[in-house]
Amino acid sequence: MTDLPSTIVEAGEWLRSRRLSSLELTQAQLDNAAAAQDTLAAFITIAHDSALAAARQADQERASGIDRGPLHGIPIGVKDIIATVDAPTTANSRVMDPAWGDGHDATVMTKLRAAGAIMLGKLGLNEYAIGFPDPDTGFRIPKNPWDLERFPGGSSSGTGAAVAGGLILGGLGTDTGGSIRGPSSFCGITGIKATFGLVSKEGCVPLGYSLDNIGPMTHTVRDCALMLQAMAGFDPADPCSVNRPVANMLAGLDGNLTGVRIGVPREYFFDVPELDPEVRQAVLDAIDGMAVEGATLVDISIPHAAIARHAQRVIMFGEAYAYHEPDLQAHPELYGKYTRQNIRQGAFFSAADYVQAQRVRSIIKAETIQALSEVDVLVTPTMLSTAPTFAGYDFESMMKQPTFTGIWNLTGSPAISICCGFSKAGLPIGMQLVGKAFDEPTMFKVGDAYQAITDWHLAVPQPGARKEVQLV
Amino acid sequence: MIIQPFTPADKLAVDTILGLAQLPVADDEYERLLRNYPILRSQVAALRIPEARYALPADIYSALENA
Repeated sequence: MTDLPSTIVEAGEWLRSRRLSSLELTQAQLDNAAAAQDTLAAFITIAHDSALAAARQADQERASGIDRGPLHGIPIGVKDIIATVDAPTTANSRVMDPAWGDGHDATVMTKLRAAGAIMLGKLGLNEYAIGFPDPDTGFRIPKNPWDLERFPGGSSSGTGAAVAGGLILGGLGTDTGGSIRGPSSFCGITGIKATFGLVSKEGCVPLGYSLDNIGPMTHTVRDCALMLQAMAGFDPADPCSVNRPVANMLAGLDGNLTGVRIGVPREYFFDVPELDPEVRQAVLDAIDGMAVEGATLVDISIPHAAIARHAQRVIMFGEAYAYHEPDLQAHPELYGKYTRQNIRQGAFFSAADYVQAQRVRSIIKAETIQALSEVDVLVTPTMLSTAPTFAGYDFESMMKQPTFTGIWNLTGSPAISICCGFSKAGLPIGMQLVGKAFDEPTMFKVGDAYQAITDWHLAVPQPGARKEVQLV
Repeated sequence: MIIQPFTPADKLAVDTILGLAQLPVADDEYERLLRNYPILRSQVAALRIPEARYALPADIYSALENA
């Protein structure tokens, strides 16, 4: 095997044209995943046998004329906090009950398997989707393929590393405050947190019940749209699931930005002093580039954006603490130190604090709806900076920093991170598109059109890193 | 936002909450909690904005099954 497809769309074409079988693709990706464990450490479990069995079945189905669609025969990775029938779920924690999720597929996995996707393995993460890179948990720490000394972002670290490192074409992450979009930004890939309630979170270990999302991470917007199409839909097993028809996620992918109205919230999102000037400039350049292609720029404001992070944290830590309280009381030593300290903060918020955060949430949601009434999407930086080094990663300073992602978990808005350039040091920079609730197709349209006029998303890690991860 | 160093009242609050919640804490983490408690409270205080005085919380509850 000397050549592999670089996107899900391309893989689908190769499979349909018999240029490649699902078995060949899956075997190659299994080999790459295993070979990269000592460098990228993206996987917690590689589901070798079940993946090959599923690939053989996909090939047999295709040979007999069954076509399950664009994901048929495509291997994907799954953040190891989502239940899958063919591998245990660890949440990257010694606290996790080994029997949790045993023999069960989360609803999203049931849907993806029905669409023909193959579960290649379970991907590393920050413990319980809230810790920080921490050897105390006993699991290997995923590395950033662009620089192995750097954090791939969290908490969906393994998914970011595996997609960027070419080990998988798409994978699942989860996002409570930016855990899909952060790794997507740091790793130079595309990742979406859809509208809250569009994708069932049944079968996912909760972090913040009212903020959690499962979403796809891929190289391209189009691939994200394909995966989300298969994942979306009402699920009575998730009380947050919204019962409404699922839109055609591909409907707007015409590569055309003419007439698109892009909202630019300059206040806070572009003027906080912690924002890296290189990131700021790259995102502004991307916005200007879209304007050249016909988009209209509109300055908008979300007046209380700066306190959204406080409301998001109170809600997230409060909800997480309620889930973890018995384990924090009985055996706190089993948690990694960052996870333990993070979640324990929830004990220090009162019930009134939680409700107050939910009231502020209502206000910021209304402000967001107002802002989006004037435009089709908003554009912001995804992260304050490019990927930090592990050595320079400061747990305590994180709680004091602004963020641009958690606000959209608060409002429930769909938000996608797309690579929009590279720093002078060669590290990816992400911009974030934010759409109206349940209007993912418009967000995909804008993102896809941006990727049609740029090639940032096609960049692969530098030869040194590629050699180290032994990519085919 | 001006962050104040922790006060005796902060220490009392931290000790009380940890005791009531039955949360064992190592010495170094206790020091960090004391240091960060005023930050947590200042962040929560920032949520007490006039606009929220009569706002309804974003919690959703329906009596309908799976609504």
